[in-house]
Amino acid sequence: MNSREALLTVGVATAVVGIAVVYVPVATFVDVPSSVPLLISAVALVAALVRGRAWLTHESRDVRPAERERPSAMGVPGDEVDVTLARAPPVGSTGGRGGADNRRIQFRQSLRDLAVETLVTFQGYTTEEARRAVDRGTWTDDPHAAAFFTTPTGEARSVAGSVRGTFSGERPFHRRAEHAASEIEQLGRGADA
Amino acid sequence: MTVDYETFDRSPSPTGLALTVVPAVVAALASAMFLPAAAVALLAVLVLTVGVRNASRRLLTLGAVVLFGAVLLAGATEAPTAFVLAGAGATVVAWDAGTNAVTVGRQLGAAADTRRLEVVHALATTGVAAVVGIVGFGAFRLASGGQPTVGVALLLLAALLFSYLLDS
Amino acid sequence: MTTNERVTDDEHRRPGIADSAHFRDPSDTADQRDGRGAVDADAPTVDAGDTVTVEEHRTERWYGIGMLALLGLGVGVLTDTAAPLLASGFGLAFAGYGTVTSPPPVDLDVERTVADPAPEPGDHVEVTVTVTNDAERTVPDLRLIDGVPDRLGVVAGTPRHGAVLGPGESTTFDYAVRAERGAFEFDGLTAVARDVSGATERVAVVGEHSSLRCVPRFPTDPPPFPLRAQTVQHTGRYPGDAGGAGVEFYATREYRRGDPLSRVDWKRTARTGDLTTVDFRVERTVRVALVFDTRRSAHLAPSPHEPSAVERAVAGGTTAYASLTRAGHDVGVGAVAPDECWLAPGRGDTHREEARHFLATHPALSPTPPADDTNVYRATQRLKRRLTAETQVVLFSPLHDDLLADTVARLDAHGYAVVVVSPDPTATDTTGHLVARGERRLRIADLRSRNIPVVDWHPDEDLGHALVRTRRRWSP
Repeated sequence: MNSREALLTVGVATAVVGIAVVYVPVATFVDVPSSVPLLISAVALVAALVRGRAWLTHESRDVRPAERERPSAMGVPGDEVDVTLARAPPVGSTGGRGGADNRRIQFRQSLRDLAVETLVTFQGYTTEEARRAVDRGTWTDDPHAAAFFTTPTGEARSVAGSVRGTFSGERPFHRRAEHAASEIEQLGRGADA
Repeated sequence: MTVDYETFDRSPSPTGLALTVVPAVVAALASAMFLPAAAVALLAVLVLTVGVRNASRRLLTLGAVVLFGAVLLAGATEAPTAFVLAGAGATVVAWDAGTNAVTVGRQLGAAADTRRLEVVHALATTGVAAVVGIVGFGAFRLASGGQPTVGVALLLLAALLFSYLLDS
Repeated sequence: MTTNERVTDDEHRRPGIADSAHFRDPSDTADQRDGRGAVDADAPTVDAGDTVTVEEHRTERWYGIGMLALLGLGVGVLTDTAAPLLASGFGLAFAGYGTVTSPPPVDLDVERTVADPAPEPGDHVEVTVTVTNDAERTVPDLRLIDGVPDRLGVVAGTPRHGAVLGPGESTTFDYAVRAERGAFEFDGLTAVARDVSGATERVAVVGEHSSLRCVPRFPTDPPPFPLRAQTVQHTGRYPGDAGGAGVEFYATREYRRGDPLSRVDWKRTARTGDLTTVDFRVERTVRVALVFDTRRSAHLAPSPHEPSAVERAVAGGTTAYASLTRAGHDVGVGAVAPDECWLAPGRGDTHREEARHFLATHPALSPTPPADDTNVYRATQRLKRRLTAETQVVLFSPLHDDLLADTVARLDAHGYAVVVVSPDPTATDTTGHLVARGERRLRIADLRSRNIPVVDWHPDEDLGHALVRTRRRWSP
């Protein structure tokens, strides 16, 4: 008999004895002070509170069948880029550990290459001109898009900078990235036929 | 070209809603003797209704605990024991029907025909509650009045043990 | 997605073209696609009539109910009243209720009827399912979910049903699916059985094989389909064709009253003032191979529930077949896919029927993405072995990566005349999607700069309209 079964048996026995004692008065041989009922009640209510909290946060384990009503979902080109972006924390936030720091730098470099290539192919720039335009931010009217390539990454942040970063940190990078990608997409639009 | 496919509506069915609200109201009525308890009970019924409509197991549990508490409070004052036992049982039935409706909604959706399924489950729970209520009422009738503290302390210990053991 | 699809040489990465491979996080191995959920993804293939239990477990749905006993005890002792004490019995009893039960055995017989097993695309096909309890015990809580094929959707009713079945008892439910091109197998029915307390759950799959084959008819009046001008000399009407690199139609003739206005060569009219009609009949027969990019990674759409690039491609290819064979050419079908896919070029009634079924139901052209990766190099080699020197290739590909663009460039360098029809699967709603669109545009521009015609086929556009648009940019 393992410990669980043993405890269960003890529990049942205790309950039976307790019920029996309720009906068959044996009170006389135990002298019980009047504060004991209060104590029992307090213990019971506190225990009820604790168990109640556990109950509220408990999720039952049911099988969750997936949706079959619509055809299975297709991927959209670029989904993996969004996943990478979502996983890219601010440079320096991980203390330089692991590849996480590099994701933003890598992404910026790749987007920069795309911008340069797009300017060369669709706007008639030379590669040198395009690189310069991107680095200086003169390739677009959109300030956020331009800022994506001109704002340096990973420079040491001041305490104030870090605090500011906590409240607004994630947003500027992703917002600028989206603007840059959108501007690049529009550069190629005229060529559509 | 967009096709109008059916969507999987995961919310509880109207049957589940009814099977939750009706026992909850019964429990609230059982606590009607003691006015403050009745007010709390009505609030709890509201919480239960919202819980089942929004498929929130958390709200359902909260509502059930409050409703049970209101029934207990009524029992601690003037209410007849039979009413208290009926109210307590009805609370458990309501909670069970509500949480089952949430699960059925998640697995089969509101569009599927689940009437017989949910009713049979609720009936089974009602049966168990009825047995417990009758046994409890019988114990009440047989009691010699007053409760020796030692006995109650032992019962508490047993309840604590069960509560932790059976849940793990 | 494409990490395993190799190309033979390393020159496939043209310098400067940013590829989303650069954006991909090398540590990202999870497939982010929305699949069909844990239960169904692991669902075994079950023989017809068999019931296989996938798993069973305790649901813990009665967890925490014992707390009511403690509440009752506390209130009862505090107020020194009996009723709350008695009420605590409910807490104890129901806590135990959830521990003494076991899941019922599941032995079901499923009969599924598909109203029309050979529908046309777009038809609503009714599916009726009857489930019988073959066990000797009642199943008090049975939840059924029918195995709608992955790439089909439900347009009426629901494939889900709840039931309480005594021994030998049956229940029936029905729903309708929308037919799409292809050959589809229904999955087994998923049955979730619980005991009457709901504390335990058994998940089983019941095998029942039903199928649906939708083979669309060819369009009756397909738009003219462009081909490359052949480099072989011939005494045709257009000696200028020799060495031409543009997209040309083979013949125009004087306008005759009654000719459809959509076939009038308006550009010529604007230039010369004459009315001429594009004619289907040509001087020589050309061998054409319609090749489809059906790699797993090519199954993409602008949003998760729109038609995929592969579905659009095959639909376009069906139109192209009709159009080109009507113009007198020999047309065949191939694919860049994990496995062999080839229908030798031909025309005539027999070939037409064969091609119709081939395009609709060949596994390599299935609307369901293949499970295996494609070795693009090997697939291209297989294809080249089938192509004769004068076969024109019409490649249908979303151009979502550089691999096929490189393949096209190489085929072109080897002397095959290639036309690319690219259904556009890109979107603009997120940063990643915008990047992918930008990259695709560069690929198209690169191919065009090598004089390979690319039809950039927009999502809601008619193929004929896309062809006219492209022709406009290529014609002299």
